[in-house]
Amino acid sequence: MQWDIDSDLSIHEEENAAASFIFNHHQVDGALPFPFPLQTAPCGFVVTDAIDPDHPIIYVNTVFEMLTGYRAEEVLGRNCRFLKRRGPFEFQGELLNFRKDGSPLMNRLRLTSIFGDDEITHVIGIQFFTEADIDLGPVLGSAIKESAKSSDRFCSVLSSLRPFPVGDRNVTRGVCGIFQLSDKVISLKILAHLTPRDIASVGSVCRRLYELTKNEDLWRMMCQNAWGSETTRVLETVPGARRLGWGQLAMELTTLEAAAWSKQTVGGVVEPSRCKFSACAVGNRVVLFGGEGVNMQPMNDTFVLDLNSSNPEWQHVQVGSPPPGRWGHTLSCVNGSLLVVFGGCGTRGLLNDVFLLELDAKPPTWREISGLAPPLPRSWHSSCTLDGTKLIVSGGCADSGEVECPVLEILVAQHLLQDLIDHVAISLPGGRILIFGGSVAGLHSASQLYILDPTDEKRTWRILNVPGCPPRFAWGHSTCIVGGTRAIVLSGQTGEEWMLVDLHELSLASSAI
Amino acid sequence: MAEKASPSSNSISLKTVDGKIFKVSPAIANQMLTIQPLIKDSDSSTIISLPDVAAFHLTKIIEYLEGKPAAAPSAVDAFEAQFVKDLSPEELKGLLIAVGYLKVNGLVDLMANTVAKLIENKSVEYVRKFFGVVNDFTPAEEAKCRQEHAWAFDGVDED
Repeated sequence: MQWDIDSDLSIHEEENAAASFIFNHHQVDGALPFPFPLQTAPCGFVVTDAIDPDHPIIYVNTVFEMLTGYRAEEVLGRNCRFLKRRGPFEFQGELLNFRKDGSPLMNRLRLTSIFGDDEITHVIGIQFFTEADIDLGPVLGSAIKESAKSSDRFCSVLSSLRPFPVGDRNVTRGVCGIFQLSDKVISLKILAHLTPRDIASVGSVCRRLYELTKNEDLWRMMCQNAWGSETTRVLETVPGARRLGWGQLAMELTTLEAAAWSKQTVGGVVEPSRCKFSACAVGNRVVLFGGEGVNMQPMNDTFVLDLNSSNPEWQHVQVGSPPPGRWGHTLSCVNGSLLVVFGGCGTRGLLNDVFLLELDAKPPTWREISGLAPPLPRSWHSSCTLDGTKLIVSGGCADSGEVECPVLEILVAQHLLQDLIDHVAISLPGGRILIFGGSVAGLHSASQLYILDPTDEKRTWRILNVPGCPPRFAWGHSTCIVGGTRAIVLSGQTGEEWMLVDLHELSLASSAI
Repeated sequence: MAEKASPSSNSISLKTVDGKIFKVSPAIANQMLTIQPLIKDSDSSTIISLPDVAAFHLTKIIEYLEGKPAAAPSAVDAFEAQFVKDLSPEELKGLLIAVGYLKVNGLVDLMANTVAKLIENKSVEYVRKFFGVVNDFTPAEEAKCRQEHAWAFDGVDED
């Protein structure tokens, strides 16, 4: 049987949750063991742990917080006697207590024991607070003069938390103003809207803010606000990112100081051998579709490499109703695990058809989407996803020649990398763009990394030096971003033969594997 | 503290710390979550005292709750942008604390978001001064903390 602690007891949903947690946790049976006068007046409510020798408070409601001026986090774990700290008083059913600001408060207290199996597990105190009609002399900071009649008791819930002198607002508010807000508001409503740098900087302001900036929920919320929920969701699927923690991850993705190249060999085979395939990531899995086989044979088969496994290997996946074979197409992932194939070149020329595959469906089946008014047929275009739900197709080769020069390409051409085609572009959290690879006619190394920060006033590409062993070749259609922090390059020794068991990886954060 | 006011229509009387009494409709008062539980037990003669809220802030809160368009997100955005535009940084800060205390629907997020923008890319000293926060680190602790967060101190704005 569960306690019914209806809304009269508590004001907020989270309080309800806290209270029922306590009750359920200790498996207490039975209805409330005392007449509950809460239908007419909110009252202070305290639960203590009676098994602990000092009977520490484990729950207080908001009314208690308002009336006494103590916040829950200040009293949890303490014995109720702190309310008597202005002096010793005999217990007579009514207690003289004090608000946090020192003003007196009469507490008509009722204590009730709650039994577990055989012993008292909790003691509940219900307080009816009324104004104390005694003069104890002036108290620092107290501005309470009015006294409430008992019939107006419910309104005294809003009696002063921390009165401040009118006309001196800036001084009084200034000293502790921000900390009158709850930690939750400061942390999740204010700090979470800042950038990673700002949050780290705020941690040096004072001890309380330092503690607040250590909170992982804050960092997660910040990542979501700053980088979008899609990026956050992807990062969440990566075990390495979880181990690293949101705070560390935010720091590493901001500074890129942990970025490094590495190389690994995976098992399995992709047969028949091919080039001009397209690959993309679904969570921590790499999916490869189609490509050009021997004698310009267009392919339409699907392979998956699961990087979460301890010994990753390529596996051929049987998929029903495959699209016509093609190369130079794009494979993209939207909505988490929905794969989209667009365009490319098949036996009958350029294509502009769209196929969807839910990779985790049983059995997985391709589905053609028609009637979308698709873009012109093309190959060697680029596709990227927006908000995880929209597919943006740009550039590429059509029958009439090159089409629709996309914004990024213009930016690239104007600044530095005129002769780079089919390079890899990675959007980093915060809108920065990292590019490498592609076919290079100039002097640049294909594995040289360039970074552009669009928020920078001087919008220029700068070189990012990253240690480790870079690939000799990398192309946009054969590189994919896994888990938001790793670029997996499927590359060959010569750029002609594809050695799909050799992966080069650019890891943007430490230990993200 | 509560006291009796002259009976009038179905309105709720709110008294600010500087002694001004505001009459608001239950629909408006209900959006201040802190006083919500008191409203159903109140009658027109009850005055709810708000010891942490000044008249200026309550005026702005009522202005927001009464003026906010019911539908069309774009209209809400325009209204909110205009609402915060008229406020000085000091006023924003005071209003944030007042709405945090009263838990005003929607306004907590708006104020928090606006105040966050004011401390974006600012130095530690600026944030301390802006919020009136006392540095309670020992010099050794602060040095350690600054070292830990060294990556965050590149290129902050001038104070």
